[in-house]
Amino acid sequence: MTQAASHAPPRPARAPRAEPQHRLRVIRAPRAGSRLPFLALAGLVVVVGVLGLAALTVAVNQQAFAIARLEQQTRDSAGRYTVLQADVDRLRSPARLSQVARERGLGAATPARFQRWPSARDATTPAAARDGTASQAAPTAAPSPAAAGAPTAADAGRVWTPDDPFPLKQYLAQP
Amino acid sequence: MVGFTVISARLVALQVVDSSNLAAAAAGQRLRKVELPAGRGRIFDRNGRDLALSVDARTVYAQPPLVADPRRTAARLAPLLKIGRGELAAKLGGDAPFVYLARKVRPVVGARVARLRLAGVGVLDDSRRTYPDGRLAAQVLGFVGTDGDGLAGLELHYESLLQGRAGWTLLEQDPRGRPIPRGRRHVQPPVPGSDVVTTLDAPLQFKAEDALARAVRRHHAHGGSIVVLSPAGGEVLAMANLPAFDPNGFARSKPAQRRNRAVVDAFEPGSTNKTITAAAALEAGVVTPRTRLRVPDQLRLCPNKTFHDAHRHGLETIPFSRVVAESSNVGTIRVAQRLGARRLAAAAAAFGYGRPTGIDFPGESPGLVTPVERWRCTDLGVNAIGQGVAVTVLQMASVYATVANGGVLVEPSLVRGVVDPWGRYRDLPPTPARRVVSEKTARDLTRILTGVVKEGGTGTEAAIGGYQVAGKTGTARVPDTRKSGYIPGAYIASFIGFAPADRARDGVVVAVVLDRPTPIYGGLVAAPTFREVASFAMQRLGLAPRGHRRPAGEGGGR
Repeated sequence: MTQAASHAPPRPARAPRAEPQHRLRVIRAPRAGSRLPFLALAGLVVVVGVLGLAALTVAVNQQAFAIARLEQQTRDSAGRYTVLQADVDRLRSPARLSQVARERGLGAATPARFQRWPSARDATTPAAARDGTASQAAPTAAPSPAAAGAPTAADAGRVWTPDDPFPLKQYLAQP
Repeated sequence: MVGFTVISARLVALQVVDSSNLAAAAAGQRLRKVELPAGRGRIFDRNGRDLALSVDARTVYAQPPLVADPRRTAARLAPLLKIGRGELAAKLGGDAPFVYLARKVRPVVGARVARLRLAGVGVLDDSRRTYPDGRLAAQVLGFVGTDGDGLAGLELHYESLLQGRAGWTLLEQDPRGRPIPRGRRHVQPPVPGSDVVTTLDAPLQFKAEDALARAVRRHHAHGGSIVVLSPAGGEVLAMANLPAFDPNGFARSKPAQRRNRAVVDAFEPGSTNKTITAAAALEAGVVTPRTRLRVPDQLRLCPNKTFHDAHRHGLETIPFSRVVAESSNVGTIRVAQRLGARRLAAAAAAFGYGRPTGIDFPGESPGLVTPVERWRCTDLGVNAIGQGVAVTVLQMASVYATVANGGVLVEPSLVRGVVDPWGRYRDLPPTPARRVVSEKTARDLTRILTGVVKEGGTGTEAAIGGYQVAGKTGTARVPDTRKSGYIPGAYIASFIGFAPADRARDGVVVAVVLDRPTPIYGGLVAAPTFREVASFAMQRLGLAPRGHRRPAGEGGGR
């Protein structure tokens, strides 16, 4: 093939190319009616967009109104809380409690009394104070666990005495 | 062309030259600056109980030119505001552009008024100061004015702490003045005031006021004061005064009721002042508790002045401790003569006479002291027994607190700490302290003062079972402020002391002063009140008698 080609007679000079002929054809002029769907679609998109934007704005503003309303409620609640707290403070004021107690027939509390244990001597009598030493105070009529119950024969051997430093024994001695 | 040029020029003028002014004017129409008031701080007692707080309120106002029918508007508002129709109609029909109809009403009333939608009538947010315990510690707490500024007491003294800093908000509004949500808004939040924690103990304060009221009533006194101090820290645990007032309606009270007499009024202390004479004499070494003195029942100090003891007696030779226990004027003056005027005056000054104690309260009186250079012949004797010198109840309480505290004077204080707007509590720095007399002198004096409440002393009614009590009675004449001399038959009775005397630093000092009681003697009228208040105070502090343990769960009052 190669050999045959190499032995092929020289080609004649190429003939001048003919001018290309433009293939023109007549097309129909575009019709206006064909844009309608596009325009309709575009219009629809615009309308939907505007309406959506408006709806979104309304929704956001509604939330803003709700937030404003909630903020107001918070302020009102905080205010009501302080008013209620003031009411609670007023109701539990010592003066009011004292008055209510008096109205219900309660008397004033006597000063606290302290009992020396195990001697059952009252450490809070004026006599004790005058002596300056509570331990020398006279016993009072006030009942005390240590003073209650007289020993019986059955208690012999486990009767508590004032000199006994073990007060629990007195409890055990009680019936 | 001409028209185009004119329009262009106008546009340039509007958009470039006047743009900032016009923008500001437009903003001024749309934007509104609203002040955000700062909440006023609370005042607590030492255990966190509210003594003063601010609550929401509303203020109803009117713009009379916009009110269509004043009579009808007044008729609708009157039952809500509880103000007479005539009064309201007069305000609504007046010429003033703005009037307040009712200030600081309850929010529910404001809401009802707003619902009426009356033309020319509006409702503003406001706050109201309230004192839940009413009269409790009223003169100490003070009160605030209509504009929320402290006018008296702690409310005034701690105004800068309590008031806070107001804020503001800039908001966009519609033509009807309603805020536009999501409009422009700039907020500078207010900084609320700090809360003040006082040293007062509310139950003890009530006890002191209650006991004082009963004593005043029982003895037909003009008034009185009680101060309860903690010696070690100088904290005022209670401060009661009579007559009293309700700060929730301070406008209806008289100035005499609003005065914190214990701090701003000075009185002649009488025999309670003998403690200073005794302290000075012991400190100077001119006597000891056992020094025996020859005491007649009268003493001529100057050519025309003779001092007497309260009761007649023959010449006695008694130890100095008995001189104090029996409150002998003559014996005390004898000791003062040994001491000398300068040392006596110096001791009084060292204990704080003649100058304010430094308590955090406005208008404190320094008392009245005559400089020793101007003392006349009788002044040594007069000062030694507590006449001719004027002090406040607080100053006297401070003297006894010094003795109870081992000779160290601690400035009294009414506030122990502050809670800042972010809820952080911090203690105020401790008040200054200084030594006045030695520990030994204080100890000797305490022992002498315990003799006052023992058999033979003038203050046996102050004895509290189970506790050692030290104190001194006082019965002093009342000076006549219109002319020189004293008011005939007018006396101030007092008892000032501390308990437990064997643990005085941990205990309480109680000063009871009654103005013109019947009978006149401090040992009879003031000492029982001391006993009542001091025993309750020790109960609050959980101080059991010696040898007893404090019951579990008791004593949280410190």
